[in-house]
Amino acid sequence: MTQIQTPSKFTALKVSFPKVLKSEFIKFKSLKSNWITLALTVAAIIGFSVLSAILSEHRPNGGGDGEHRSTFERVMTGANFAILIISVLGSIMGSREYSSGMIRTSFTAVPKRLPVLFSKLITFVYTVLPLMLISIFAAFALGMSLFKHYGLAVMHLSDPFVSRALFGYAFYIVGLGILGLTIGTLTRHTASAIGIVIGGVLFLPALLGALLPTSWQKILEYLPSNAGGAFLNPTPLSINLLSPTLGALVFAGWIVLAIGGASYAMQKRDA
Amino acid sequence: MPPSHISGSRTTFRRLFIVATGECVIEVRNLTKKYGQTIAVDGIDFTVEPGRVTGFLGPNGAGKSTTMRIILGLDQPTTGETFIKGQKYSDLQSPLSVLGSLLEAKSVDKGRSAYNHLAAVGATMGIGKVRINEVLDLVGIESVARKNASKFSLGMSQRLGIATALLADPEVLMLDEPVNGLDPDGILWIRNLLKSFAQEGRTVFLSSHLMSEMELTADHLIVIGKGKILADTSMAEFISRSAQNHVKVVTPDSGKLKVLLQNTSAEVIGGDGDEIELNNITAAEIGALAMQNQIVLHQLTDVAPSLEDAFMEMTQDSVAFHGHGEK
Repeated sequence: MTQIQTPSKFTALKVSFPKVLKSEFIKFKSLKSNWITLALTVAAIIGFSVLSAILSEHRPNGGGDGEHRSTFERVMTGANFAILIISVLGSIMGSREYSSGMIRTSFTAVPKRLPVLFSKLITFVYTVLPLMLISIFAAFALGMSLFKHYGLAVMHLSDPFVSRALFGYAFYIVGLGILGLTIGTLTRHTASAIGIVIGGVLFLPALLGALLPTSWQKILEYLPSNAGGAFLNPTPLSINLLSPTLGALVFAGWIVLAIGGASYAMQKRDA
Repeated sequence: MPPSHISGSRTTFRRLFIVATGECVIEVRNLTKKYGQTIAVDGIDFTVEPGRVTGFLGPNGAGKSTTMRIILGLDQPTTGETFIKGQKYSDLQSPLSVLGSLLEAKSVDKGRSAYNHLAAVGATMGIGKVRINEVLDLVGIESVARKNASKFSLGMSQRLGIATALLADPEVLMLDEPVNGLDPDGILWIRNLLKSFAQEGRTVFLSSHLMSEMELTADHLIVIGKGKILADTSMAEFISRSAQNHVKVVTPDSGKLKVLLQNTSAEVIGGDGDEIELNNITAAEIGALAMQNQIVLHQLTDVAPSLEDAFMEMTQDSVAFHGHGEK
């Protein structure tokens, strides 16, 4: 009998979501730069907390003239820095495959495309969120015990809203990373994605707040960074913020919107 | 068993089977792709059949890569459809085992090792270590498999791309410029690989701008120019139909011979110094003419047209990017 085609040995192996997820984990794990970035982030979160406590001998108020920063703000110095690093990590993760051309390989392997985006998001959250939680709580514990050693007023996890603010920080950092990842998917270009996340999402609202008339404040409160600011501290830093719960919901809303936009673009556009 | 008169002609039987089952391996129907005002592909139809190497030829910008990207579902066509074994690429459950492809050596993240690249691609369908090592060995990069792809030469990147295409033991191979950057050894290797692949009854569809390479590898040709199909025929037929034989003469008396040739139907088409290239005349006629006039000939050769000649003749008007340097 004439054999028309030699069939593949692997026809029985079908693409499925768990397999795509595994593929994205392999991709993430196998890039050395990801591990270096994560190690630096953990070091920054804990290191700056310890440093701020040690330096408090010279600056008991934690800031310049007339400025007063609570010990909570001071132990979160590194976490604020982590916001920048993780935003960049997310932006790179979203745009990198477009720059290298790898995206074509990914889409020929997974022609439905969306499993690739969602696997990236899950990989990102699964890897980054636990690390952020551990290092933020470690930074808090280490920093506060040092402040205590130097005889300054300290906060405890059991104090009102402290643990909420710590979880809030981890949620905010990972959330901005997700915004970076989706914006990177949308721009398909690393530098512009980083520019939009750091310039547009993180700095522009503060700039607008300073420039626009006060009547605009109500609207600015709903921007991602201001919504995030609503749940990052045990006591609100400003009166021009949403309530912590509403802030968290609004921030989550931005993330959902960004994921929706990235999904639509990934499905529709030529790769 | 098929009736003996059919099995006697395997090719015919295969064609009958394909028609009967409606199963051309790659099928492109009325495909158009516009980018703004530019028409990259202009209403093309063709099929690629199993058991042979089909070459996809065309000048730069003719629409080859666009067509391949659309077949893979990477680009959306403006109109028309493409099918792989009767299915849309995006509906394939196990796409890599049906169609292995190489688009550009660039479709690899250089931050990763060759092994991890293949592991990431293979994981999407559950292909693991054993097969990865098999293809690494097959393409000859197993010794550098753990090195970052950023350290790879163009040839090694190309081999990694081919390893990716072969990873799931596909029934169809679609390769865009596969010999780019390969050394002569590598070119011979891929030529043999593609031929044996086709001999197993599988399908090979490849584009190349290297005519001599295409001539040695492909059995069937689809020629595209300015987004339109110019020819869809066997290699031999394409060459014989599109270009003429010519005769090459080498003689120290080229001046005298040229004068004598003016009285014949011959047309000088090239050559300089002692060399003359001629159309519209046979080698035998030139030999006789030279002997009658006591002209010494050093060489008298019938030159069969190459694929390149035929291709140039056909695509003269359809080259999208003409050079503007010397004539």
